[in-house]
Amino acid sequence: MTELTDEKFSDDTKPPVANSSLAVGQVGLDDGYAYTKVALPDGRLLAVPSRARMGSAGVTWIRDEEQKIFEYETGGCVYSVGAVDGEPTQFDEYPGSALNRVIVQHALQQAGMSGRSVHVVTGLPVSAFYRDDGQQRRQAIQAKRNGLQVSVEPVVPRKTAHKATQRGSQKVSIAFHEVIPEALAAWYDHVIVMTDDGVTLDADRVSAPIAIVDIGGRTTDYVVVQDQGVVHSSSGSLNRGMLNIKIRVANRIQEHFDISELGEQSISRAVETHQLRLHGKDHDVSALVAEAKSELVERLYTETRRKLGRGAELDRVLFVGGGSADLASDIADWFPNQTIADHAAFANARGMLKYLQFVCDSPANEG
Amino acid sequence: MATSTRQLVITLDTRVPLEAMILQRLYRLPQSRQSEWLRQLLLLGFRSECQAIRSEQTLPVRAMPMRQQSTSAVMHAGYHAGPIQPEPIKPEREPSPGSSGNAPSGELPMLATPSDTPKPFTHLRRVLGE
Repeated sequence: MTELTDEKFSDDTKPPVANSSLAVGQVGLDDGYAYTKVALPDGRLLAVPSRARMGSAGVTWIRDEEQKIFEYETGGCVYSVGAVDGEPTQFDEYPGSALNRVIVQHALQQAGMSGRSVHVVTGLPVSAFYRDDGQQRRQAIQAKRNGLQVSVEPVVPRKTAHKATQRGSQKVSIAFHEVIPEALAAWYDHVIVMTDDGVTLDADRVSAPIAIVDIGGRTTDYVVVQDQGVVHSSSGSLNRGMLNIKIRVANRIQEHFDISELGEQSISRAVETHQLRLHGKDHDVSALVAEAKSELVERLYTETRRKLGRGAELDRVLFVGGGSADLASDIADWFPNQTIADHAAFANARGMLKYLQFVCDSPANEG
Repeated sequence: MATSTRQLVITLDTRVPLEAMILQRLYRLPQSRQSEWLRQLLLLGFRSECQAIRSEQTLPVRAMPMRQQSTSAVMHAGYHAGPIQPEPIKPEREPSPGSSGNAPSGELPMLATPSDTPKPFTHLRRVLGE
């Protein structure tokens, strides 16, 4: 399952760009609760699990290339990011938290931006971005902006500091940061179209009423855009997403196997592979996963009908987010006019990048 | 007989690169979509004109060099700066297969933007609301 997999996804096989330039980088950064997705102007897409915990890893890596846990310091605390049993990200303050900050820094490092200054656009769930009356929640938006302005330093052992500089473990600085609603980012991705000749605005798509359903890790977002405005009565967020499957499966495993504790990584693996390894033996947990998935799909279906009705007045219902790809067969027949975006998990990140490059009021375009 | 629509006739000069590009782009479209495309082009141009005028009224002086110029300002500059050389806006690289979904069905042409000019779709910011 895309949303829950541990694999780093990249759409091509090119290695990350080396720190060869001091030019300001542009990044679309969808820092979700389950995965942090990065879109870069050269077309590369990358995702890292939003997985970190406070404290040092306590691991010495014999070979640098085998390193799976990375340490970062922010606000006087050290965090470990990567192959760790991560702290839960499902809390309201996560977008402005130190946990989010170190995960974002790690994603930028993995994208090859080490030592560079970057301009980013990130997102907030629709209900965190707008009040019920459609006004923007300026305080929450500002908190998110401020969160990423706090410095995060990669922690490098002194004896390898010189080597680390050479291979690229220097801080990435965020020089400009704009925040937009997550599902609306996918609308920008939908209407701004990259072609061989450059970039165009698809007039048909801009003028057509459309619903975006963004099935994410913690939330599922709904945005209806009509006449270049958000229809707030049909837009909002449901606090359900792919992480609910993990939570449900964890509970059922505890109950079924009578165990009190199981690491977060083991649960993720079980959800992904449908196998749980306990005391050296594999156990089939596909029934537990199927049950949790079906529970989520049922809840999403009810909320989708509540928000969008049968979608008769919409030109299109566009499903995005990692959950849309994972649940493709379960949501296949919800609307006659529905589409699942290509590389759905990255639709928001791509839209954020396009917003940064072609829409928002940021400093001039640079590398 | 009174009617709610009006027809305009305009002449484009193919010796002017920008106007030649418009014609070239227009003729690449199916005939049934040509007049709607032109109408959208006109509306987009006018919207951008309105935004430029509004920004002239509201932006502080130091922000002026970055703002979008109104048509009249561009025309005035043209007398001194010579003809505008239009080029499509180029992305750094063709994005990955998943980056833009299906082929566009109703493109609007975008003209050259030097690095110090405003971004081409700034009007889409208003979708976010206040």
